[in-house]
Amino acid sequence: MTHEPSSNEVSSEEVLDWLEGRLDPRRAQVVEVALAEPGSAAREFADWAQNLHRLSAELPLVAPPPVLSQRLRHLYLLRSGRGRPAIRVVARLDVDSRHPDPLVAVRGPLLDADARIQLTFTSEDADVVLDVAPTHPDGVTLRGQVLPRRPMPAAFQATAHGPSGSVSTIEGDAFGSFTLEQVPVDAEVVVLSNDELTIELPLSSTGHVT
Amino acid sequence: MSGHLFRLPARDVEPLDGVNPPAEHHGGDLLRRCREGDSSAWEEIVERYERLVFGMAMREGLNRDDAADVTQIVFEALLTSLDKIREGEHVSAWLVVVTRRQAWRVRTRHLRERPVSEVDPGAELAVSGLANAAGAEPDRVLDLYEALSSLGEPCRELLTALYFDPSEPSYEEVAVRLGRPVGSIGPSRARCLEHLRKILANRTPS
Repeated sequence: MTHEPSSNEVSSEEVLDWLEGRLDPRRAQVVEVALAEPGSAAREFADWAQNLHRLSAELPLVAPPPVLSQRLRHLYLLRSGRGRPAIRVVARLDVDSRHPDPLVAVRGPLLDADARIQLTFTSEDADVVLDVAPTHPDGVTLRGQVLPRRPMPAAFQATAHGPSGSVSTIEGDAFGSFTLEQVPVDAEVVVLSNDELTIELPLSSTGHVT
Repeated sequence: MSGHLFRLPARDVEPLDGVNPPAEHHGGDLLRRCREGDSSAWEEIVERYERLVFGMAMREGLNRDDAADVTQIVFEALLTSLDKIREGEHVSAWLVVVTRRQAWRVRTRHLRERPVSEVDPGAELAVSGLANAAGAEPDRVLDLYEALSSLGEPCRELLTALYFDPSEPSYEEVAVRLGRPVGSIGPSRARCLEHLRKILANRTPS
């Protein structure tokens, strides 16, 4: 059924299009004639394709979050003692869009429930940009991206911790971007981690723009 | 439609010479290479089976966070069981059994943690029904999965997106996702399905 069909033959592509209702009416009639013939190649293929559809419904294939994929690949090296030990760093605040003068020191919480702000943190291993957007009276949305300074797995799990609790996501993408929704404004630290690096972003009291 | 049609009579299906020896079909060769210390074989195992395990965990009624936890537990279990899995045992079958067991544990734990007033008997029955449906034809489903896995990447990605993605993307969405012209999706789909059909017709039943 892979050769070019004559006008009365039908291809597997046409059978599939007919099954999906995509075939033009003229060719649909030709396909229907072929399908009506018991034991025809078209009929067998149509039956097979419908069975495939039925079975595929029992086989959902879903790509896991990139950070999980990275972790799964790393398991073997960890078990065999060949994985790199994870490094933990505390990044320092480098830029706060509310304070363009880099010599101004700020104290108190960095998050702001009323204004959209941009923060940049830096460390020896990676920089992190963080966009803070108010979402409701007591919370903000944090959209960020980790920019590694050396080759490393790019996806990170992100967690914000504070007195009001923790918010976490494993849905960071393969480019280091992540989004934390409904983060309480009293969150004290954001922790970004994968199998090679954990970055702490301090969000309160000691936030100095240097 | 009767189920026997899925493994179709090979009347008009040519043999596929040299396409994936049987051991490769069920992951046995990958396990052997893992035991011998080949980390690239482990990467291949993860590449081949992570969607199956994560998708199966979600099908068992878990949310993405719980499905991620279960997926990690299952692959850790596979790693520690490399020496225990029998020669010839299908990796996919082993993974599905362990995934279901772990998912059941997570669901049971959540049920215990919920106040009685929050428990919806209908929802619990729905989850239970899903689990039963997933186990209706395990051999055929896993044969299909192994055959799909042994396709080349372009066909595997295309058929996975068209037939196995629970979000049921349109042809246009699939074209964007795979970076192909939308007009090529239909013809490619037909060619890839023909190839899948040949693989299934040529492989040894599990």
